[in-house]
Amino acid sequence: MSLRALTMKASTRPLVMLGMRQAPIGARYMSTPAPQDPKEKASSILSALPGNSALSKTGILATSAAAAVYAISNELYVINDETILLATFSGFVAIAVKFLAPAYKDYADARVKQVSDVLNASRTKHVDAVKQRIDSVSELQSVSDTTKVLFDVSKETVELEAKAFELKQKVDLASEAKSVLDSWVRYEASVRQLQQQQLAETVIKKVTSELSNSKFQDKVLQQSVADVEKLFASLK
Amino acid sequence: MIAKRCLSTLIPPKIVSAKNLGSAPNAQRISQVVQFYKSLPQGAAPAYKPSGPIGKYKAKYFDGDNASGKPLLHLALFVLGMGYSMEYYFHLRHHKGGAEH
Amino acid sequence: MLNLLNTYINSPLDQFEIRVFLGFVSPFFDLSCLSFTTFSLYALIVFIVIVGGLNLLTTNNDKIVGSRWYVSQEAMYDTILNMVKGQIGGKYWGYYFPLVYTFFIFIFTANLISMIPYSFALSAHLVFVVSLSTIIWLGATITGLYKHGLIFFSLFVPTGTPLALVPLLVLIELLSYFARAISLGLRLSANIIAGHLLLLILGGLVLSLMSVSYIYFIFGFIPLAAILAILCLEFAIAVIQSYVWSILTSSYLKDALYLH
Repeated sequence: MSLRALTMKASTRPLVMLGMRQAPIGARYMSTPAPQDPKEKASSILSALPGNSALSKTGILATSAAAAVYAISNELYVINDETILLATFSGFVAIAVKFLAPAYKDYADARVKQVSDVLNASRTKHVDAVKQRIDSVSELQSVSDTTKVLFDVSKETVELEAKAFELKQKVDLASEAKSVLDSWVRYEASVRQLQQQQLAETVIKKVTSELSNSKFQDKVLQQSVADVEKLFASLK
Repeated sequence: MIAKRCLSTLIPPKIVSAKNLGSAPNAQRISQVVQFYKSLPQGAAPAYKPSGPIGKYKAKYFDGDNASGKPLLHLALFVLGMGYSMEYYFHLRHHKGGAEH
Repeated sequence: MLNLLNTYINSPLDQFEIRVFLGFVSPFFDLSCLSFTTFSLYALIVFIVIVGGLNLLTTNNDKIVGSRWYVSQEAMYDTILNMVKGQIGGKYWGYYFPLVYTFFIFIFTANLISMIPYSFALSAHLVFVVSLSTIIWLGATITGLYKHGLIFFSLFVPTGTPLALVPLLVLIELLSYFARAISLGLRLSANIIAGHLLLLILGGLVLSLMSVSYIYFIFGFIPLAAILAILCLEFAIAVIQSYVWSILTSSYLKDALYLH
């Protein structure tokens, strides 16, 4: 049936019907927990539309409403069974946008964050490993100086050891010479002692042999008498 | 005691050498890493510039933080519009004004 | 006032009608299989959506970290991968994953696009879907015969059967094995057909109800909400049926590859 028929129908419809229409709408309003401010509602509808200024948004809204009315009145849009499905599909889309989309957004953001966290963590770990390697290598940067010092030390060690060896040899030589000389001294001393002993022995032996000689005894006696006389003479 | 000293005791300990440097556990990996970094392009990555209508659409609705469900809505609207116009062309226009076939 | 609807009787089956856009009329050979029809158009849309929309556009410019779109593809891929790994398992599951994933993504997308009003349900066409399932069944059977030779027929004798029961069981098993070819496609197609028919019939009823008067228009929102609930259910069925198809395909392939 065309719109003409409908408008005729609507005009012939008793006004009571229109009055009764208010009741279910009122009931619906009561069912909502907090009735929204109509202005707020309007602005929330406007903000959901694309465009920048409120004017263009209201323009879009008005244009689409007018287009819908035009399409329906000219039967460009023919209402049939699918229209109901279109309405329910719009309801499903609204539900999906309101509940499904934020839930999915949270899930996807968590997943993206998880992946980026893993990648960032591995990057910092990698940077740390490289830095650690650089540190461990840079500890060895003064290695040639150290090695040179070490070589100097061992050179000095060798020199000192050589000097010590030389001195030690000198000391050894001196002590050996001293011991040789000492032994010589000891030998000389013993030889002299031996000679003196022999001399004394020969003298004693000669004296004893002389003593047994009577001539000598006489000579000694005379000598002794002479000494005694001399003594007495001197005593006088 | 001194005679026992060998020449080797005079040579200072080897602190480092090319081999010594390379014998660290991760040295091989590090050299590979260095090779890898050498082959990488230097500097900041070139900014991606969308080209063409599809590229711009992709940049607006698919890439990075711009990712949104709007393409699904666009697809639904497209299929809906196409489906309705086909329905209208084949079917509905013949029934305008409640006319039978 | 709301009596804008047409008074002619619409068949709810009209929505599955295939119209020819570009037909081939040839005198000797029937080339109508080459015609570009509604079916081809929607198959093309599904193809573009899968390849262009889901794969090419969601790559996030090949960055390592994907976008939110990429996550959806990743999740679907992961789900099917784990399912195929669990169902087929063994050594060969990787060879058959691309096949199962292709089936899943195609049926998934086709089912969801068919939920848009004024759209067209590809998977509601029994001749297409049952052919597809028969091809899968036939392919699985050929694979099994190629792989195991005559031992393949041990699939029809459950282990530990008394010898006396073997002929009966072989008959039953053979029947159930042949039924797979049809049941796989019938399950999907019947679900989709039933869903779309139910929605359209209910839509027609609600439209008639709402166009009676203003009061009925207002009260008509109650069954409308019920249709909305059924629509949500149909969306769930659209997703679940594509998953079920993939599971059953994997399970048939497993039977052919490993014989129990």
